[in-house]
Amino acid sequence: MTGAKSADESRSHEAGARRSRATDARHALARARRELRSVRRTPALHALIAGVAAAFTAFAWTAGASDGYVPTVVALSTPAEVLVPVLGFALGYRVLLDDRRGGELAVLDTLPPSDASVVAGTALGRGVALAVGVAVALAPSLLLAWLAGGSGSALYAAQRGADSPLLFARFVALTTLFGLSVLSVALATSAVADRPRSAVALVAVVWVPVAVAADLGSLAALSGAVFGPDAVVALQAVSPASAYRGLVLETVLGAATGPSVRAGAPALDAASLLAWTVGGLALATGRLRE
Amino acid sequence: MPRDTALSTSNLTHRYGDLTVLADLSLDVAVGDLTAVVGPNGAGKSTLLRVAAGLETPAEGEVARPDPDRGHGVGYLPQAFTPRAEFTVAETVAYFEAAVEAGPDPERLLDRVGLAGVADRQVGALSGGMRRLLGLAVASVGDPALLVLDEPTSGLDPTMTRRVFEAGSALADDGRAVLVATHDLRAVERDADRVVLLDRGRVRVDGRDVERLAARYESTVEADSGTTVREGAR
Repeated sequence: MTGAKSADESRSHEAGARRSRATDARHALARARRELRSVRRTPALHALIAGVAAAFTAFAWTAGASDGYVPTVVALSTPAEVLVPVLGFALGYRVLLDDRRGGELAVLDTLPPSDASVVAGTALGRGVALAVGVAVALAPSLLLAWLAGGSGSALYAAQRGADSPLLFARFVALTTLFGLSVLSVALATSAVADRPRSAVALVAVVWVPVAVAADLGSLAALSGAVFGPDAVVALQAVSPASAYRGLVLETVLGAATGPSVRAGAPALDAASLLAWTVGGLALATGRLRE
Repeated sequence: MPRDTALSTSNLTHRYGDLTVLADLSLDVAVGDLTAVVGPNGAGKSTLLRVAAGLETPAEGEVARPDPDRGHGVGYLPQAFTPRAEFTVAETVAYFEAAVEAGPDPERLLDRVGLAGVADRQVGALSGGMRRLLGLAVASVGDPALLVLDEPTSGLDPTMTRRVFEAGSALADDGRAVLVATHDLRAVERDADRVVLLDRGRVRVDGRDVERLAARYESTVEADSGTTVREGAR
């Protein structure tokens, strides 16, 4: 009897866990759709994407689009280190905070979905919005490079055969990956902050100094010859911005210019961006109710 | 916990730092009743409701909530419920409903609280009262056995206050327990089945002679007798 009861309880627990996973998955998808709709209905975010697109286009126009796809990437990669975080933070820094202040999270807390499904759904929906935003913002630059037909600069003349829109597509994918890591940090900020002003302060006091210090540290290590090249490459992977830069240099420019310059360790840089993304989401989940 | 009781708390004590907000509080809430919790600001009403909803764990004491097999358990409407303005009323309810069950049917819930006519209106365009009714619809998704409403009528005009309380009363009549914190004594007199007066984390008055008990509200708090009066409580 005891064995039969135990088996029944075990089956009941398994069924409960399956129901719970199904509920979480359903809720995460519903939340992702809600976030996408929310972005679609927020004119300020449309304006921001348009502004970022205009800025990218201006940089591409003035510094490289006429020379081809890879020179355009060179022209855009540094502005992207500033513009994409702006987009990522704008998409994420208030979303969980506002839901907490508006009581939506308290209501959800009495319902079956887990905190992880709330954060996962938010990240999925806002992540898709960010990917679309990055693609839309970079599309005019791609068009410019295509229309210019790549007349070829002195620097890239020898590698003109390697210049390709596929390299630009790779740049878009890497920029999206970078944006997702920033979005994830923004969601964590949104979960930690208790008001919009403190979210902005957290970005200014924590995120910017961390990113800048890691960047300057790797540059100082490089110029001061404090560490060997391997250590510098590893140090570069610490900050999302420098990891992104390393990935672009290695996998886009490196592909066009050949293996003559070692600008980073792609696997390490990709792992860094992934770690920032996962870490941000884990922090957001852990602090959602506090 | 008896079958006709949706919530049972015994000897609840809760503190924020050195401040005791609930002190040895015991309370049962019956199915079919709209139980009003009244008391001055800082009496512990919101904390009691958050404990009842499972959003806070008391420092001491026990809480028995509804069996999850009877609906999803507890529905909660927080004091400041301001859902996202860019969504329609129906979209908002459907989102919360999807968290409980597949195939949400927002119309049924909106009809129950009298908002079916504004299902396609954006939340940002609703009046404060309609927003509270929307909150009531959201709190009742998944057919919970216990509804916990934290000051759902604060700042509302008398007409909207009446609508919110009538909707809460109808939900109670449908076989739920409704626990509502409020300062609105006229609505309590009109619609509550039972009134519980809290002061400094303790139950001072608990009874079903709602009209008389509500009238004693201010004098009881001011007198600060420190005694608990129970009149006709189950």
